[in-house]
Amino acid sequence: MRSSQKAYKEMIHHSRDSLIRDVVKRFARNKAAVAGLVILSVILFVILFANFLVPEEMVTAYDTQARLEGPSAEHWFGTDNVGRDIFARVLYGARITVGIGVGATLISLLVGAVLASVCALSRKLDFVIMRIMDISSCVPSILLALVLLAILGGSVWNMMLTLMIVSVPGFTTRIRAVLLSVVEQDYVKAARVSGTKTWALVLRHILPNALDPIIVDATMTISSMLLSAAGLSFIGMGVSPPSPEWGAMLNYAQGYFRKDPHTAIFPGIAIAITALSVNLVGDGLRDALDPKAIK
Amino acid sequence: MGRYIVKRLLYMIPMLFCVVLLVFLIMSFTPGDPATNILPLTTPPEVKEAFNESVGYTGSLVERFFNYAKGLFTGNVISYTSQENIFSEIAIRFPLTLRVGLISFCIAAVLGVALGILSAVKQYSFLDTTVTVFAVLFASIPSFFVAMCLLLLFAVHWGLLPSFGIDGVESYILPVTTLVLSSIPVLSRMTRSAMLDAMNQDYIRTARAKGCSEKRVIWKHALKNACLPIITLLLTGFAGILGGSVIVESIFTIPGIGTYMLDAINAKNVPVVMTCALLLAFIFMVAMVLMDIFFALIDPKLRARYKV
Repeated sequence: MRSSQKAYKEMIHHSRDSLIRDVVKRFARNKAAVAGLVILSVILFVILFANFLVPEEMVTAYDTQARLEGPSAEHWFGTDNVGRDIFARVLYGARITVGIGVGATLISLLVGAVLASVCALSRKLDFVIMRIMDISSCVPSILLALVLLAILGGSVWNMMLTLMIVSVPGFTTRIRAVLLSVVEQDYVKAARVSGTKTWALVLRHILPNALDPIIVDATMTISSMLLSAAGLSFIGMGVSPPSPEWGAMLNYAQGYFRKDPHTAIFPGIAIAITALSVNLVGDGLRDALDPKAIK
Repeated sequence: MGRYIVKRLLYMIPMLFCVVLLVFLIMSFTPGDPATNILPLTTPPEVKEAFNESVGYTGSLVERFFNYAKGLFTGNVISYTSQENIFSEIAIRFPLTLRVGLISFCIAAVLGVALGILSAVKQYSFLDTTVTVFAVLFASIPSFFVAMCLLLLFAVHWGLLPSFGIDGVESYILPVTTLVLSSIPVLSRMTRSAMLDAMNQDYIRTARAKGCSEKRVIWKHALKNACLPIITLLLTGFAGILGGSVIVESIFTIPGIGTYMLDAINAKNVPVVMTCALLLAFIFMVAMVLMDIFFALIDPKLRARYKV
């Protein structure tokens, strides 16, 4: 008895390993996704080790003698309107912009998953929650974001909070749809009738089986969060100056980029490359996790 | 069918009420009254009080909300900053936003859906790859950066098009191009996958097996079934363009609803923000109702449920 149970456990373990290996193999075959992953690793490296590459004082250090200089050996990306080094600002800006994008996605994923689980388990609460989500999805999200930021004031945390509030309805609706299809499966019914506690039902049976589409969704959301965060800072409602947030850098550049395009081009390209690499990885993950889906 | 439409339209009223209430509650956290926020610091208190009264800022929170609601029905809501009637201000600005938005939406919808269908029909062809690469690329470039690049090239470098304001046909080109470029990627990608989904169904194989021409298979069988997700998608695209107009209007300094709203939010001009929210939510809901009615008209399953 013992040994057969052990063998069964080993089999399960083995099949899970090989499942992951298959996913990795399929991901590795996708050149665009691998390229995305490489760029993303470079960005992650920059985020972690920016202070070893360029001293942190460079972000705010200004030289009024060297305003709006083009790219040179001394200032790789040139200088901005008060003579700050744009290269240093773009490097440190990665921490803020990517941090907001990833942070906001993680919180809204968590909130969305909790709400969606409640929806999947209780009919009554499902009705209430979905009506609230209906109403909030009718308020144009940009308007809601702008109003919230105007009240809260622009800071990294408020930005994350705002993006979370704006994106929770969508997250909840999408995760709920996935969960509802899992709840209908026989193994969930079996677990339920055999007396599994609700939280164990959600954590051990429902969520793990709904994980793949949720992971893909979250990856794709990171890039849209990045773009929204940058967009809000760009119209002057987000992270306040002199922060080197990429969208905010483009906002300062608005008055100068016609004569000195480098002030806008480098932060803009930074946003685009980051969002692009996240999108490529997301696409690759989707294809690797769900081989049946048609590309 | 008539009953269904009436029901849907009536459903909009509580939703709109909730939207206004929501925005009102959030905005009511704004510190200070309009006189303190707008008039100079040295203004005597009597003048401030008179100012507050003239813009309809009196009484408690509940009273203010009802004052505003009454104003909505009598067409008399006063902006804090300009002290003009908000409806007449919106009447001047809204057509601009609507024109830019609708032109962009039509171009984006036609191009996006057409490219999506073409790349699904000719899967893995040169066209398909090009469209996919384009879609991934432009989905990653923020719309304001696209706008800045377009400005640099066409307005500053070549001097072909005006870089701000809106007078004459040529001043529409850059804002519209920005909105179109930023909304095509989603449209074409999702159309492509909806179309591929439909083309992999059994009924397509049946249609081919019974000898349907390829043209008929695509137009009659696949497209008709891919129609529903594509229309849902167009609604999302429309909402995206409405939202994107705030950013585009602020770059190209177009005096539309987007800049009006942005200024109002910065100036804590509560009635203007609420009225804009109401307007945008109303447009969005009308689009949603239209979509639902259209669904009920074309989908036999839904039609049976509502006994059209």
